[in-house]
Amino acid sequence: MAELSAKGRYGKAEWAIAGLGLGSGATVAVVAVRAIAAHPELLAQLLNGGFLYFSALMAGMVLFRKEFRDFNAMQARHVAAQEKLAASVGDLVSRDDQRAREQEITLNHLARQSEEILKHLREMTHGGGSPA
Amino acid sequence: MAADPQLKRRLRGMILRLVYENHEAQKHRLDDVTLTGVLERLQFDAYVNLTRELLQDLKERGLLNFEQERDRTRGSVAIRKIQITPKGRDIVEGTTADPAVDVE
Repeated sequence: MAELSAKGRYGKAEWAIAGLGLGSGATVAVVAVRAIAAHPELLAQLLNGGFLYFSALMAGMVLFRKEFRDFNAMQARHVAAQEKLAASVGDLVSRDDQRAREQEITLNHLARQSEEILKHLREMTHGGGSPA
Repeated sequence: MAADPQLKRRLRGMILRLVYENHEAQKHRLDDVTLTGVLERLQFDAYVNLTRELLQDLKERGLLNFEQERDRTRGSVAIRKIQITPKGRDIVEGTTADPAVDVE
């Protein structure tokens, strides 16, 4: 089920990428806070310029992408489980069919054998011999 | 594990009889696994490979016909659609006899 993992295809490198992204974000935030502390008049421009909405949109897209990937992985696992279940049920049904067929053939054979034995017994009795 | 010749003669006869009875009842044609299951139920010490060997032997004697499929992935052989030949029917009905086939 490795192909169905919720993790990306980069494995451990994802940790490094995430760390790098986090560090960059933190650096940008620190620089922004310092810049605003040095020039408070820039804050009004920042809030009116749509930068915050853009940032929120970007963050939302990143979160959505991650959630969507998890959702897809879960769906794939669900489908795989359904297929497995269907195959198992199919196996059970065919095994039952097989058993029933074997039983039927065996019974048919035994019934014929019994009939033949009875016929011989009758012949022996009517012929004057003893069945034993 | 090799079966002794007497058991093989007996099993050949039983297989032939079962195929004959199945044909007479106009049921679907048998396969190796089903035949082995029936032989087990009749208390024979049978296994699928032994049944296959005996079926191939009966075919070589001209008493049975079947389709043999080889699974290239697993390397196994499956025998399906077994049918009795007129020569095989004669043996079951007692018209002729074969010392290698013990039909009671």
